[in-house]
Amino acid sequence: MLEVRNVSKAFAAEGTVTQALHRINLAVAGGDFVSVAGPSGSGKSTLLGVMSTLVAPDEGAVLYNGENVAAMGERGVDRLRRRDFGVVFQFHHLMPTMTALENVLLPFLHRLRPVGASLADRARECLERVGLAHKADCLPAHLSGGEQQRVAIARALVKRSRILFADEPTGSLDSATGDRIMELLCGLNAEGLAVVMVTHNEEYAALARTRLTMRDGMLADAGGTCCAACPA
Amino acid sequence: MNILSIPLRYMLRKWPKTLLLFGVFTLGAASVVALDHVSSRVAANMERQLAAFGANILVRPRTDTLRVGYGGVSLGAMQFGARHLDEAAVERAAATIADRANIATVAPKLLALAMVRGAGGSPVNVGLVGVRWDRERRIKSHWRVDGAYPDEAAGPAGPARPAKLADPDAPRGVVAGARAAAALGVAPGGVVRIAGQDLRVAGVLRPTGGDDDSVLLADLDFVQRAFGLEGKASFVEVAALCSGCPIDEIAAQLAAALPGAEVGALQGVVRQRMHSIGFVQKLLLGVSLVILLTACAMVGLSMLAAVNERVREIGLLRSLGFSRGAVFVIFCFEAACIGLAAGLAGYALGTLAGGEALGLIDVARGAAGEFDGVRLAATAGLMGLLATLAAFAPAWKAARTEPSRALTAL
Ligand SMILES: Nc1ncnc2c1ncn2[C@@H]1O[C@H](COP(=O)(O)OP(=O)(O)O)[C@@H](O)[C@H]1O
Ligand SMILES: [Mg+2]
Repeated sequence: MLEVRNVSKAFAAEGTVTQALHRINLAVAGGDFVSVAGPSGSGKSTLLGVMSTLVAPDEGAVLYNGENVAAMGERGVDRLRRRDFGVVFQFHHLMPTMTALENVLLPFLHRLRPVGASLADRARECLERVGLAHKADCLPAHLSGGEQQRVAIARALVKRSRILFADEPTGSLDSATGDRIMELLCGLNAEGLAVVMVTHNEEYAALARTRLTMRDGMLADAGGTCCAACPA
Repeated sequence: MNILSIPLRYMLRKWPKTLLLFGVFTLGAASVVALDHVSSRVAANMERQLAAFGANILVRPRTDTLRVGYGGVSLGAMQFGARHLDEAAVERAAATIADRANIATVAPKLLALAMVRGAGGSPVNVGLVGVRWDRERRIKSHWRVDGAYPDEAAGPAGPARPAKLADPDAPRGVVAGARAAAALGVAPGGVVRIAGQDLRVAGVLRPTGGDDDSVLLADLDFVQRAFGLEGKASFVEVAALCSGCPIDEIAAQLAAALPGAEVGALQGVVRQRMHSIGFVQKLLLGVSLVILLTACAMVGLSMLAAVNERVREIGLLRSLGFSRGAVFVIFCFEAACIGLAAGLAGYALGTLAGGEALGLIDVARGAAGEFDGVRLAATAGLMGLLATLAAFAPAWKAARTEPSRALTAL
């Protein structure tokens, strides 16, 4: 479904060049659950960025369903981000001036045509799915960290993404809240959503079907595939 | 909800900031509107005051002169042609020529020689000039009168209003030139007898040093009736004002419309008038431009700060598949809304302030409160456009934000 081929990425900052990714190869199958672990600064976020089209690689290619993302053009990439890819960042990244429901609807607000009632209903369902139906009209500032993260997940759900990219989705949450987020991700994965998740947490990483570990911009080892680790 | 909900929510939730920007832009718009209001009023007022220097076009009946002489001895000149103008025809011409908007005043006059009896008892031959008081006074604002003009309420030293005034056709009294008053022995409040009618001397002109000193001025209607010359005028003085068009052109247009008349232009005065009016307007236009530029710079800077502050929000939008164009629209729309609203409020505020300012400098008192829908719409549209243009650079910067900016933890 998603393939990363020979991807390298370097950052030049203040005179020093950091090789964030070095000749990475990997593939994500449809419905897969991939976890990426590794020390801080090892290039996990950069890898996630490259996979989700948010970071352009210096070398190599990213293929989605066999098609090179770089060849899709700007509009094609925009469409991909809008339709197939969902992203959840470590620091929630909701629009602070919009309510939870409006944030869930955000992927549909890219044009002048008004959002129909059916989409609004769908957004409400997604909020319900993450257990936040009662907070639909709250601003992000009035939501806890875990709730904000769940809104971000609902935002990825509402457009029926095929792959969800999550960068340390539990990184800034306490363990109980983190557990709930993981439960949610596992449930969604069981329904067919592919998940690529960066995490520091060994326990959570162990829930993934495919486990990857990064070190100095390279994949350290393929890890053991741990099938059906998600509690059913 | 659609894409515009994003900037709308932002403006609403960040209302103090929105309000500040709106306030700055409103002040800018208001000052420009007020300046424009004052400028046009002052210009109009100046035109009126400058018109006081007198008429600059003279319309006379066309006369052909035949020199009569014989054997080297001149016997003088003989005049042919009409001796009077048709008052209505001149009015019509002045109202229909292409440059009619530049005609400030049309002041017809009828001259007659009349036997007038004053205080002395025996009649004296005096020049009588029939005028339309309101117009005459507009072009003869250098006149100073002891007493009052017949068309105004009795001044401080003025005579009691005659009971006859109830009759609209009744002559409203005369104004005597200084020398004429002396010759007739009359003062304000006195009575002169002309063509069998007693007329009150409403006022006496202070000496002007000109022809006005030795005549009696009366209602044109009265003089026309008294001499059987209804609707006629001996000559018509026209005060024309124009920026850009030469006075000769107006004279030529009048001449074309009045085949039986001779139209002469008095050049210099008008040129000077228009020059000083143009100068004031240019000055105010310059000040307005500076104010507008400052307001635009403030909007631009404020938007730039907002873009820098919201870089992760923009990155988020881009990572959700918002195109560069969509991001550009979001920021431009925000500026356009503020500009539009500021244009509306600024127009209202500026018109009021302009009226107040005019009141302060004692020009055109009570000129405020003239709300004009077209100008309101134009102001709002222009301010919206200006704010949008000012937001172009920041919006462009926002549109170029990389979606990866959403990834970076602050
Ligand atoms: N935008 C950037 N500019 C410069 N250096 C960057 C940038 N993003 C990441 N890096 C560097 O690349 C390396 C990998 O970063 P990252 O992918 O964020 O690692 P991780 O997510 O595993 O902590 C780090 O050394 C980091 O400093
Ligand atoms: Mg990271």
